[in-house]
Amino acid sequence: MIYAENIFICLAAPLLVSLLFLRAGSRRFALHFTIGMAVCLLSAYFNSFISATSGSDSLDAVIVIAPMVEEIGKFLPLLYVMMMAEPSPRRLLDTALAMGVGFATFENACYLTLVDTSDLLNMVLRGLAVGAMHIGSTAFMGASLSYSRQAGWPKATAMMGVVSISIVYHAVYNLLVSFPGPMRWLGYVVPLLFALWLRLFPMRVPPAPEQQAA
Amino acid sequence: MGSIELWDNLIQLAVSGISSLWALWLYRKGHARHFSFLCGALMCWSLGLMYWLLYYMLRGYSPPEPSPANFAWSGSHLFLISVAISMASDEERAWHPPLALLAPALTLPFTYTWFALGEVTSPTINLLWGLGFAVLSYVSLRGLMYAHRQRDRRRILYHALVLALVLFNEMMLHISLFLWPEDYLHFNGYYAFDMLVTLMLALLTPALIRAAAERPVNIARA
Repeated sequence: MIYAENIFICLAAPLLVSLLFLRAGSRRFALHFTIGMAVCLLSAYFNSFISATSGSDSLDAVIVIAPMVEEIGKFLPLLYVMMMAEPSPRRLLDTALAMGVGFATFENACYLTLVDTSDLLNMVLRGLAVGAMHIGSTAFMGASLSYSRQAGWPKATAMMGVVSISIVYHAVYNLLVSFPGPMRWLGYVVPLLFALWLRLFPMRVPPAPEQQAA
Repeated sequence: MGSIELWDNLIQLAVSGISSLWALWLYRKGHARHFSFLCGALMCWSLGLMYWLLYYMLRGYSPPEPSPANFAWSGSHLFLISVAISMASDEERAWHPPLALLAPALTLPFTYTWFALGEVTSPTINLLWGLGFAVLSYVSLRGLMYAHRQRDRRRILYHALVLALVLFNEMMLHISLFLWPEDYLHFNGYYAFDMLVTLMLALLTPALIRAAAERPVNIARA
């Protein structure tokens, strides 16, 4: 058993202290990074609860339950931030990126307590792939949320559809890395390729509402 | 998994995947949002099918319900609803003809059958899909009726394809799951309906291209 709460406290405490001194974008990043870590911790609780009540084995917990719980868990704070703070589209995307990074970092930190960390190649691949996957799916949700504020955009249906894409993208990654052999390597490569594709062909965020009105 | 089932799924995966990339390319070229939604619909479909196949390869049986594949296919329905809404004018969105309720009414018996005969299906997924089919069929039939009023044949074709996908293919597909549950090694009604679904998926993108094109000006009327 890992003491995930203790790991969270150790990682979050310096970040929370830094909020007293940071300003502007740096402060927002630190805050949303911490929220991302908290979402990861809460998702682990929900994963364990649902696995226990549904009688799923550990593999099904990873490839069936975790993607659904974690992506919905990442979406809800983003939705809250969008509705309460109404940030500009670019700032909402940055929030999504920070939450995704926080989520992936905490997940990797907990993973380190469970495995042998002497295999450098495995650590590099795991770290990069998980990071790229969580950042990609959360950024996709954040960018789509920024479009939902446009007039005439079918908000509810489009947003729930975007969450569905994120869920199945995460699930396919978890499935591929659960395979032995070459399929696992494909699983590590896919999120990296998706991140590269996003870098080369960036998602366009709509202009801020005040720019639209001008 | 028998060879015919594997080929059936792989062909549908290829068709939906390629169609989604085609719709994505159309969106990046013209920035019309309905192509982005269609890309989402087809991508959800293909990713859901990919997940289902990978799970079967890994574990040797179908994923339990609810699974990410169910969410993906439900997301596909939501994106198709988004396509219909984004294509509709304000006048169409404000129009609620009673006849359009016929389509969701026709989906109700199928939904009831899932609940009644589906011993291993999840009630949550049955409800989710039933609602999705009902809303999608309503907006599609309304769109078809509105396009008929406007004499816009291209939009009639697109909405008719979606209705065919929902009412005559996907609903019958699920019914055939219960009528022929044991003989997946040979060609039967299940595969016939699934191949019709694949055909509808392949035709959606070209139909939307035609539907989204500007109506040619009738010089005689101008």
